[in-house]
Amino acid sequence: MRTAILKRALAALLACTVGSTLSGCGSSAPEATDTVTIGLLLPFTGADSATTSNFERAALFAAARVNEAGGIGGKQLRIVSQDTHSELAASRRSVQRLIDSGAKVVVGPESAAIAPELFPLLLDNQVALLSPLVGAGEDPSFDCKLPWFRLAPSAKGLGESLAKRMSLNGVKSIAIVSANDAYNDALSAAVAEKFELLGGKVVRVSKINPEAQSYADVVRSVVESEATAVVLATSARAGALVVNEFDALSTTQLAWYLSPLLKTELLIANVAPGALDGAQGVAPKLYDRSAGFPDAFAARWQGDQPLEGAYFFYDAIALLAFALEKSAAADSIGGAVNGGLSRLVSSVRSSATPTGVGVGWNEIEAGLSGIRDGQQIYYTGLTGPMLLTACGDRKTATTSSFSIANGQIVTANQ
Amino acid sequence: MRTASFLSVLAFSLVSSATALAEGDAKQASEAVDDLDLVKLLNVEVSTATKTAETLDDAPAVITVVTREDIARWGYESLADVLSHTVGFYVQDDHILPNAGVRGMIGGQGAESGVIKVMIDGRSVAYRTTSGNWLGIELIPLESVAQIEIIRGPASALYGADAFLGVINIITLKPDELRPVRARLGMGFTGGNFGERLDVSSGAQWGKFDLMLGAAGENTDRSGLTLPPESPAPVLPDAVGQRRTALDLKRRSLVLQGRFGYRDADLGQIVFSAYGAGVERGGDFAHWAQLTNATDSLGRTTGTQVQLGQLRLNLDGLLHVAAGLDLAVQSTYFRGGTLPGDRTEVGSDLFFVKRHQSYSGVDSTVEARLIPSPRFNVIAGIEGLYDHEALRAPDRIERTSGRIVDTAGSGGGVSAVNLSNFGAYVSSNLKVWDPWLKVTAGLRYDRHSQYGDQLSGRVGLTSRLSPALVSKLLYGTAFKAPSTYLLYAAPLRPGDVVGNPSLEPQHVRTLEYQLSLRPSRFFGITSGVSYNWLLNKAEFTPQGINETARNVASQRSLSWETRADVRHYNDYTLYGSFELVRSERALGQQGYAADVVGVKNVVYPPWVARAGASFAVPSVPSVPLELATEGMLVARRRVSDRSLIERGQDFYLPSYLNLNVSLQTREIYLIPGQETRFALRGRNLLGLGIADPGVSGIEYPLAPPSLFLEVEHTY
Repeated sequence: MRTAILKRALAALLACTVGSTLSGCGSSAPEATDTVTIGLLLPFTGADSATTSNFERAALFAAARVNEAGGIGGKQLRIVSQDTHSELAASRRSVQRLIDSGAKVVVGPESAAIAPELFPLLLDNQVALLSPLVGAGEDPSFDCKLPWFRLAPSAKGLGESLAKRMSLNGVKSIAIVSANDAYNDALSAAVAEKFELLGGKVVRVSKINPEAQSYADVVRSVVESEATAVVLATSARAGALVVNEFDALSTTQLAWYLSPLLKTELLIANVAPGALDGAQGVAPKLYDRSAGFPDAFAARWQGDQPLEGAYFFYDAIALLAFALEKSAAADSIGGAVNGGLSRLVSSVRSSATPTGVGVGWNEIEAGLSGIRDGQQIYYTGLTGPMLLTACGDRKTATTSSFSIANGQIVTANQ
Repeated sequence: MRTASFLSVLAFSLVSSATALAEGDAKQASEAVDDLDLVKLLNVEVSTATKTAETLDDAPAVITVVTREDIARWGYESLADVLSHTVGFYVQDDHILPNAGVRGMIGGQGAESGVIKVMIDGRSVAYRTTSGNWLGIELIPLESVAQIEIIRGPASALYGADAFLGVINIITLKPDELRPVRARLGMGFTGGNFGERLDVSSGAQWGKFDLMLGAAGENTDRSGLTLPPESPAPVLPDAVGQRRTALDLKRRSLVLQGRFGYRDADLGQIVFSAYGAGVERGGDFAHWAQLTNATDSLGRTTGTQVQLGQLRLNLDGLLHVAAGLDLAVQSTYFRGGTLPGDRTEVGSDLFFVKRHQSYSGVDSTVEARLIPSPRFNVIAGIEGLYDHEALRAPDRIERTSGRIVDTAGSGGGVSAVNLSNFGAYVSSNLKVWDPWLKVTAGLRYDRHSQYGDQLSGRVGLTSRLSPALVSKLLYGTAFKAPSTYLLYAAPLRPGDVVGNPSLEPQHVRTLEYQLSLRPSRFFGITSGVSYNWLLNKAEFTPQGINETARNVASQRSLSWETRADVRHYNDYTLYGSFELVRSERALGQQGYAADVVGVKNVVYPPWVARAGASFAVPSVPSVPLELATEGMLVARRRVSDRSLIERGQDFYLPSYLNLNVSLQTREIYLIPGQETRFALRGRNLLGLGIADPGVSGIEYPLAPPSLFLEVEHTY
């Protein structure tokens, strides 16, 4: 027995010695053969990094649940994360790393502007893209055959919803402060268009550089515009800077209307006490508001609470797990997950389509087991029905409103 | 390999030069001075290890003693300077308040050397809000210092909270060492900026009464340093453009000291002492935002200014109750906080921030010291501490009008907090088989209003295996209390630090072994290994856009420290030391950041080699000259967690060699009966363009080279 172990060790050492002359011994292989890899492409640094670690935790939590349930096709599900640094060049490099690590699907990025730019690289490598927090682009030239799934309501829908809320509240004139990126551009354009349709007046639209340290000029111009309300569509960091500088310059209490990405305690923690009390906003609606998910998440992550975006990331990984399991089950070669991009795309759609037995966020084991047993399974989701349009958007993505009172976020019952 | 060769050549050159020079002057020197050898140095009495006087060899601790002769020889300006050249320590200089680490472990943002406990005559000097220590000129006039006792290793069993990875006790001059004037005045250049320093002590003894007054200060300027290009995520004002040169790194420090005592050999003593200190620093490398000093479009000067002050009033009483029994009572009133000129730039063109830190309180100890025989002693005491921490939220000040526009943070929702601690301890030393075996044991219990019960202990075996060989085997535990800053910090700008009131104390367990060999009175070598296991490491870590205080990690360090000394009367003094550290952390995290950061240690270099040589140089007899040089070779250092995450990959700052050179006279007597020394001191001569790891998205440049002319006078 001892001799056999010794022989194996010597063989490994020899292989390592020979191999190292070619590729370097000890470096990790691009993809372990006993794992299925999902790439996570998020802004871990840069202007939009505020919420990323929380979202990543949701993805890791979902992957851990999958692995506890036996993994995908008998293999462990592996999440490999890379940083976009909130910019395109870094995103491209990171996507290449994810592809090199064997990712079948990339989850992310945060930006509707970055995502389309990554497609040539992804398609060349037969990798799908699923964006939990990017909504429909509303771009008529968009090629619906691209393997890109978007789980969030569209920026246009959210913007219109925010405009309706302001109109209902009797707001007559607004200024819009928006980060200079595709998502916030689309959102602020939708706000402006809808608000004017409803009879309101947009007195100023200011685009800001999300990386700046001060927005004094923008703040001055908005104060001078005499708008009665300000729509803020930025990252949490830039938003906090704007709110604080408003507070310093203006003696009047402004009515703040916040974009979905600003529905976070991180914003409140970084502004002057009470500066945002009374603020309102819209965000994608969560269907499951029970304590089950937050409690389980907090237990897994030393008390950390999931942000609303984290629900979408959990859903993304759970949906992909079912899709990958279906691909594996459909594959006749020993359960290997090599059915190709088209099979994965159809599996994602079928896992989102309410046909057969619906399973919830806490029933991953039952769902995976059902798929292995040949049952028709679909994922019901924390964020509501997952049903997708032909273009890969959520069919039933709806919005909810929220407000801030006494430094706390209060979500309206809808 | 190249580094090793260079070291060998350097060491050989130093030794050969010193030997050649020493031979020439040996006779003259040996006639002049006969009390400066290692026997005298190593038999120096220390008191920090057990609170009783004992020799360095007998003390159950790993101790380095820096005497006032060492301070004069090497031209040390401050405790930070001393620690930089002490084996087992590494000092990270953020150009505001330096941060000392020990044996591979160093605190994170805002730590300010809080992993060690610094005391003057046994009383803590901590700036309570951060529980940090000021190690600069503002700590104490070095002219009033008799010796500095530096212990590596935990000492909570004797000193309670924060005697965590080390203890430094600065012993001031005894009454019979006082002189009417001991003064050192220096003028010169730091980088290209003129500056001056003053360090003066004056004292006298009248019968049983004695008085000592002291003052030290500096007015220097490190402006002109550039932000290291390796800095991955600086926070720069929008108007800074391509400029990366710091315009305000001015340093002003002042400490005033007074001590008045009544001492009776039979009855005891009562001593009152007071320290008032302040620091003012230009904050162009402050963590909130960098390079903020400028003139804005309206001609107004902007820029972060750090202004802090503290005051301590100490009362120390000692009563000889009976033969072998003393009763000591010590009490300190402390207060401190930000001064009116403190202002923080946060990048906004509209406002700056004014902090409102302040604390005050009392720390009192009653202690019985029973010493029935030279072979046995026991010390038992109780300590009570009350600390009122005012956490008033900072103000935002509108630039144009100067009005307060609002408060910048909630202070964690708390406006003030009262902290209290009660501690009881006992410590004993027994020479079981003198001189073969001495046993030391100690236990301390602390109960704190914030974090509850803590138990610390230590045990040590000290053995003089032969007249030339001493062995020490030590084990101890210690804890570090979370500072008010870690508990309640409020962000001054979006992305700044956020406190966490549920933090738990950090704990460390240390096992260490040291062997000292002194085969002759001219040569000695000490070598030791230590294993440190730190639990619940608390520091600010990236969380969302903020840096949130958390108990993030455990850390294990194995270190090897060796120092050799050669000293031949006044002819020459040589030393060399080497420190090797292997340290790994367990972050208990998962995900991208944890993968990038990994388990390898950050900031603290894996090895540091130091060497010093001081020797007489040919000179006219009436003006004897001495050349002293100290070098430090620091291994490449892994950057901080924040920098690693920003880069997305492993990154090391290159190794560097730093060099100090002094050409100085020995005592000359321009005025009969009064000693005068002149010195020309060059410091950090090779330090330009080198960076040390920073903790907030920037790296720190080393202090610029400086050249100072000093005059020291003793009457």
